[in-house]
Amino acid sequence: MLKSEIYVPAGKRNVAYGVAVVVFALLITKFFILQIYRHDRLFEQSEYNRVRPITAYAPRGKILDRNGNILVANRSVYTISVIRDEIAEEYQELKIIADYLEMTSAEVHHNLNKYHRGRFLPARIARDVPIERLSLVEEHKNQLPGVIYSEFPVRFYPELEKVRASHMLGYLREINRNQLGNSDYLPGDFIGAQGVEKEFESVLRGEKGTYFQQVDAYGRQVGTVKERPPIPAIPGEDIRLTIDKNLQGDVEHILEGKIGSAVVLDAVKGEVLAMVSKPDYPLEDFAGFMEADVWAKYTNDSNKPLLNRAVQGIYPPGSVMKLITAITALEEGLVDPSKTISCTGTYHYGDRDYRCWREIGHGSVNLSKAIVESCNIYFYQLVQQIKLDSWHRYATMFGFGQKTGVEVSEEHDGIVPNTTFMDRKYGKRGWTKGYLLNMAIGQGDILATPLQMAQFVALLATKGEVPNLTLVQTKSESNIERIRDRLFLKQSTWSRIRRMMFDVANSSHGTAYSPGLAGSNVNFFGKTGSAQNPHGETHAWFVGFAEKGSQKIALVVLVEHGGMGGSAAAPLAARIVRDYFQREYDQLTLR
Amino acid sequence: MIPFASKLGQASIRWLFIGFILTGFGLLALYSIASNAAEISLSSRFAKHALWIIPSLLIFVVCFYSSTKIIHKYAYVTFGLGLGALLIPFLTGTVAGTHRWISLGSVSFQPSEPIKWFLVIALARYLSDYNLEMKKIYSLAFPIIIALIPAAVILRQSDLGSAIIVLTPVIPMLFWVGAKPVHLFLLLAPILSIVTAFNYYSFTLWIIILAVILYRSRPTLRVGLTNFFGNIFVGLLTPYLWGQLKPYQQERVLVLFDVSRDPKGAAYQVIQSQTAIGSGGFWGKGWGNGTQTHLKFLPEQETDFIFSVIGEEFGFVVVCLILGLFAFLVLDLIRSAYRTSERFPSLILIGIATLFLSHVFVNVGMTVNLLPVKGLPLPFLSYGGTFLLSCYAMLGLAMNMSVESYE
Repeated sequence: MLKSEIYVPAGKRNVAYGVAVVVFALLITKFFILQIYRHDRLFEQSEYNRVRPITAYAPRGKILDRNGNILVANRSVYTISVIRDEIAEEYQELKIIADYLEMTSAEVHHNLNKYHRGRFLPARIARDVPIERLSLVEEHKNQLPGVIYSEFPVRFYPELEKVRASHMLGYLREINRNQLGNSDYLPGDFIGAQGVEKEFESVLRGEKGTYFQQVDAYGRQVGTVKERPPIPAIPGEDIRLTIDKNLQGDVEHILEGKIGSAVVLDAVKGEVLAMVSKPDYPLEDFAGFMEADVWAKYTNDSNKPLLNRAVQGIYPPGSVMKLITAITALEEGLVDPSKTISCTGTYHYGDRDYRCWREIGHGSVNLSKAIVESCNIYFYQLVQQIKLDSWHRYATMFGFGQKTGVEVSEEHDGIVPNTTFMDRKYGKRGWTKGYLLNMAIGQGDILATPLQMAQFVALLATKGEVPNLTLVQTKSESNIERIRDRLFLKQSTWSRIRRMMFDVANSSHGTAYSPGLAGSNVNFFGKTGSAQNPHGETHAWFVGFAEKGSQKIALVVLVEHGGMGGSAAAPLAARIVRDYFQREYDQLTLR
Repeated sequence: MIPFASKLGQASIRWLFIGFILTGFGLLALYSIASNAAEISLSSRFAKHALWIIPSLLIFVVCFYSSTKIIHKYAYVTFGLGLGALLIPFLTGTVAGTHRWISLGSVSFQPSEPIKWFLVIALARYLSDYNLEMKKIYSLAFPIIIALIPAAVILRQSDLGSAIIVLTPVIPMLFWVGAKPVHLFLLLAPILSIVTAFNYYSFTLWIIILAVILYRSRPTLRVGLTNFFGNIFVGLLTPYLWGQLKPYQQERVLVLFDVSRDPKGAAYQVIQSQTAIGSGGFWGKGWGNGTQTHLKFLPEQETDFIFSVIGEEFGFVVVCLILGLFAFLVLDLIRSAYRTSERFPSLILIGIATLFLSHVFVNVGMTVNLLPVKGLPLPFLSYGGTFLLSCYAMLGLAMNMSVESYE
């Protein structure tokens, strides 16, 4: 039976061969396409599969005061996350974590569900975990598979109780969609939103790095990628400010409880030594994750704590402006300083009466007495000789109506009206010389920031030789950008103004007579102002400078609705000056 | 009986060496996969597979040394027992969700593997007994029905791959024994009717071709008309049946034509497999360095997709070598079938050649997206004891048949 022969023609065999050959040729061709022709792309694909780039945050640069004291540094907050698919006993494990973190189980479950984004992705269950709680979790790591913590850098203010400098330093906020644009920031990054943090964002931020994790098909980390070394993060540069930490703290202390601002400048170098705006806020509230209700608390506060009054607050300068009026008259030769007029307390002009602040009048007044005792009537008369535009020119020369250029965000220009401005605002014939009477004493349309006022006195203190103001110590001493054209006035004008300002603080008639400083080895100069405003009590101003040897500081104190400059602002200024020079003295003796 | 050594001397012993080399590559791949663990233990799949070589060689010896007479005599009995074994899993309950396994203590056994070559033996006996009948078209029905029985049972075990493989030797064996090509064409015609039915124009064209071929081959009127209208009926029924398929079943077919349909679902395996193979390039990433393999991007890497592991780690060179060995084995089996003068051994050889060829084509084609993912192992390389046993049994049988026996 088995011997039954079979006859298969060669053609049939060849058909069978053919089928097999075609099958193998097909397979080999397909492998050739994949392994040779498409190799590069598929190799890339396999790399992409396994390599997950992870961002390494760059430590942000520190902010230091002029002596190298740290004002702003970094600290880490820790967040604890859970990878749900790696947990063995979810209910039990979450209960343990809740105990360690002093949270309720319900909170932990709530967060886990809220932040669960997918398999093998960590869901954040707690943020801002104190280090003691974190170490508790770390110690019990064996019981808690799938629980991981991560570090998140936030700003840290080591001496917040001594010095705040909130507005000047500013804070960071999570970047918004508009800012993202085509920048190299990523969603979730923090970016300087105010103050120095904003102005020097590019210097402070540094450069993020990347390291490469090898992950398996489930997204679990299984090691690092040897062939791709990590790209280290480049830390941000430190910024050294011109601020004196101690002085800043003192000034903040002196202004505590008031609404207002104070600025202290090194008049010779044009450096800001202290810049205070009150009320302020503890920057710690703005470090890291901001709670919505905290933010609302600050934005809804009617005292506007977020406003940086030193550069964003604009106020009528009041009698301080009489100095500009006097300078204009002296420079243009429109006044005889020795000539007196009589102040009876009122001045009739046009169809209305203009009043002096002293209702009974100052009696016989010359230029010097008009400044020292701040007589309005004298200036009402004097300004009759002056054109608005020349007055505007001198005000502008002293920096009014333009930004000082100091390195804080959103500085206000202030306003110095000229003819064009008045024509535009009131119409060509809509305003009279009566408006000028107001402006001569710093009322009406003129508005200035405390910093502009400080710059003004610094120029008076140095006879026009102040470099452009700065908040930051530059590395090279000769910074081109800071050179300002010297302000030339007649020598006699400088000395007259100086003499008058000295008398304001040192003559017993002076509005800012300061017995403690008068007669000391510190020469104290000043001018007060009490600026009327539609909202209530006058704003109290004091501007001035103090000299000891070659040291010159210029300072400004503003107390909103504080009343008279002489009683509400000048004493505070005198305290600042005393503190400053006292410390200088202490430091010298300590050495 | 001639002595074993002398019989081995007469047989095509090179086939056994091919089997050894292929098994070796399988072990290399399994070792690489297992090296993920800290140490290779006896419970690893590598070790288990290596242990299965011993019973495989025993079965090889049995299949090789048994006399052709005995094999011929008990062909139907073995087939019947095989069919019975195929039904056992339905009585004992499911293993891993299917009825594929017979569990014997710590060892599991897949009865769908031996039935493939039991069927080849049974068909070889039937066809060599009734070879002249095969000239008639209606006589073809019986062998086809014999083949359809195990195929239907395996399909019930939801093992589509093996169900198709079981059927593959039928047509080549009929062809080999002398069935008329036009009859075989008519047998295959319904498949083409199904494929073309999804497009109005392609179906029309196909029906015209069918009519021409029917007319030229001059069958009886009855045969011609039955075939013609039968095919039209099948074509019309197909879209309806397609609608009856479950979406995942439809998806498995559709992904064949467009891998990107569902990168996370049906196509995930194919994409990862192609990425593994393609990223291996010409020389491969090196033994144990396949990232797709070791990071588990590649699914089913020990069984269905073991060739992707080879492609990734050893590259195009070894891929060509292994496919070359398979090609040589298949062509040599065909050559041997051609040279064997006896009908029964010749048919077994052609049947086994078909089984090897179809396994390689379906499995390897699947890894490179030439064919849909069906879940079928690669001979000698894939992890799996029953299948390794089965492969060596077929090898023994084929070598046995290649020996001209003049007992």
